[in-house]
Amino acid sequence: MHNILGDRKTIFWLMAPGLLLFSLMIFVPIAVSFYYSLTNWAGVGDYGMVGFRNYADIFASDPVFWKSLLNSVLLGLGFVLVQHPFAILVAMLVQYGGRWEKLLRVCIFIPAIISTFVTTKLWTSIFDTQFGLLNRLLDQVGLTSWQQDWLGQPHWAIACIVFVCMWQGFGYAFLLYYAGVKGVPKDLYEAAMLDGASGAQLNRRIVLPLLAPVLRVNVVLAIVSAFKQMETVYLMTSGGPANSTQFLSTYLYSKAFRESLYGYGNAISVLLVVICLAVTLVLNRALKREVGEYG
Amino acid sequence: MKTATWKKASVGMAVLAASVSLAACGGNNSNNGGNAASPSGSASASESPSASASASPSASASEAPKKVTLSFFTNNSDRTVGQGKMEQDLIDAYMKENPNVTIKVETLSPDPQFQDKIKVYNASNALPDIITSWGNTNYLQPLIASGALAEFNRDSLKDYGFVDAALDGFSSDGKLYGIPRNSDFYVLYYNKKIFADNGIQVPATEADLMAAIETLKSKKIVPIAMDGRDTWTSGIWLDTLIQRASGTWDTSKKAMDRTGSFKDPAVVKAAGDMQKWIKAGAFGNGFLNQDYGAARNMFGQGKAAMYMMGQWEMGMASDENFPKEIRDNIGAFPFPTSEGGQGKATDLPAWFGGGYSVSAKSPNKDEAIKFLEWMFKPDNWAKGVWQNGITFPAQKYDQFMTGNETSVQKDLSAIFNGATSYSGTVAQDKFTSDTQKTFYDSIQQLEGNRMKPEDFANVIDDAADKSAKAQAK
Repeated sequence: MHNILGDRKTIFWLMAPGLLLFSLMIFVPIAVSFYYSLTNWAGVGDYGMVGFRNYADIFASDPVFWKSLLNSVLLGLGFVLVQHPFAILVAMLVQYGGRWEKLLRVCIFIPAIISTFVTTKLWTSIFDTQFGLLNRLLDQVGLTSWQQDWLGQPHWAIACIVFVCMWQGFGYAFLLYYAGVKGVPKDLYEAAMLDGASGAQLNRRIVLPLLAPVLRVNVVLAIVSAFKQMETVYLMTSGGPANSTQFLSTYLYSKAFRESLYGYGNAISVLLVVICLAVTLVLNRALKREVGEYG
Repeated sequence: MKTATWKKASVGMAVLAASVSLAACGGNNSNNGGNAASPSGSASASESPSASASASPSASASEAPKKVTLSFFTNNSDRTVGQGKMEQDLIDAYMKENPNVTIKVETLSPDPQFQDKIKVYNASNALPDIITSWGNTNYLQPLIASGALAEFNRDSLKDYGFVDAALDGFSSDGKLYGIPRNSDFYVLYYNKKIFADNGIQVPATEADLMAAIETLKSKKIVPIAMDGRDTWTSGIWLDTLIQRASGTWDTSKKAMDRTGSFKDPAVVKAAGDMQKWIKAGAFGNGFLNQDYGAARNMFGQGKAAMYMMGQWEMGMASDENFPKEIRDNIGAFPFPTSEGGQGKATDLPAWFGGGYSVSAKSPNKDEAIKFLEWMFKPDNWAKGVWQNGITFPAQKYDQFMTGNETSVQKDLSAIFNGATSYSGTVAQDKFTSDTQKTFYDSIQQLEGNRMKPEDFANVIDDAADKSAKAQAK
């Protein structure tokens, strides 16, 4: 057995089918996308090569692209600075739930298994200006002046989207941290208890540092998913009002299919791939050191 | 034989792959319309096995009529009421008469999403056999230019009673690429009961309307239900207000063909009027994020007193999803005159809207055309849609008058036949896709009070200029 796996040729042939599938599904589309990004194709009909003009246009004169990049960064920050600390806290608390622990775990994870479409439509109705639950509630408790056109005002709309995305992704973030918390060996707990550590000290000084590897994976996943965010935004506002909640994915979709600038849309999608790769690389580098220290 | 099997298999695979990927693309959208007849994803995915299965028996038995499966992609998602029901009834009748023909229906709405998917289909060379189409420049022209649409024989339609202008809308270089299904025009629907309960008369002038809005607001009723999210609704509204200001449809027409300009005082006035209506609370709060279905429901459930929409919604009067007391009380009136403007209320924003086209690359092209020619025999579509109170056909319909028309039908008929001028294709439909987006974005900014009427006029004039230059190329 060892001999077979030691043979490079065998390894190659064993990997080939998967690798082939992988490249067909991932690399070929990216390459094709890159090719089209160099054209002025409108989605139908003939097209000509325009070199890097689409890219030049994006960098020189497209405020909406930068706005959507900024929105993606905002969402990523929301994930890392709000959603994740909260998820860690909840993961630590749930383990003290006793016989409610299982039920709590299920409840927290439920939003993650409901279709994005359904939860997004749910929140859109809640935020509805005239008949939405939120405005009704504010009216009932006498805070009528707090009522807002939640999805119609640019700053509220982006806040609502970030909130809903965090809510939708909470289950997964929680689950990973919860697994991390559960993975901490029992003897560490016992040792700490014997040394007289309180529950808070235990969690802060022992469990939290041990969560570092999970944290690292989770942060990378969160940032990448922030950049790839599409369906929630598309369903809630389609990037509106007036492009203020445009994210990279919704913007490239709108360019390619709404405005028939297929080449331009492809250029944005290639940039999206590059940005995601770069961010992952940087994050992996930056977070590696921390893992080394505690692990 | 072996190669044939391989070929079949590979075609099957390709179709499957295409349908799977397309289903993935459109996954979000298809849920939108609540497809009653067939969910779009499964419809297209199930097509490949049945297509290859039916191919082999028909090859051996050449005497029997060839089995044909036609795909029919429409923007009418609800197959139980209105145009969707009419389509479905005719399709079912045709399949009964012609047992060898199977017509598979796929639906998607609203229209912008439908048009997106047409572009995806066309880009991947998988255009369905029969599709809903529109005579708009930015929709029809690219499809014609890329040779995607099959030509109809206009002579074979000469006894169908089509309005000439309607067929012209689907023609290019004297060739006909679509069959128009209705005459569209834009009105304000109103709930007669709400009006009567609050002592409101049908407004003839802007001042009347503003007074009505005040009364309704004090009663906590939304004055006008408006689909602000899709923007095309506002586009038609803008054109109408420009006409009401200048007294002629030529203002925006000339601005689009560049013999005139949007930097016209009438345009600035119209844009200001739009902001005036909004500021007065005509549409309630948050209408900019309200979509077609929401606006329609608001009116249909009696939460709004008026509804700004085209004649195609007259079917609401027979839509049993809405309470009877509302269905029986729907009326319609034309846009009121605007203060200090030249236009009359009888000047009607009217054009020829939707229809059907056939894919030129379809192997069943002839069968598809045959079906559409059958569908549009006056006794089928025109009679059906008129007598069921669904829409105004693009064909002569007076011979089908029964006297039992719904009240909204009578109101609309009076508006249509009493009009002193017709707008023809509205400005928004003459933009290229990318300039149209600029146009729509600017309208939204105007409506959201983030752009001044003067700036708005300048921005859309630039867009019109860019559009005209791109189309001249």
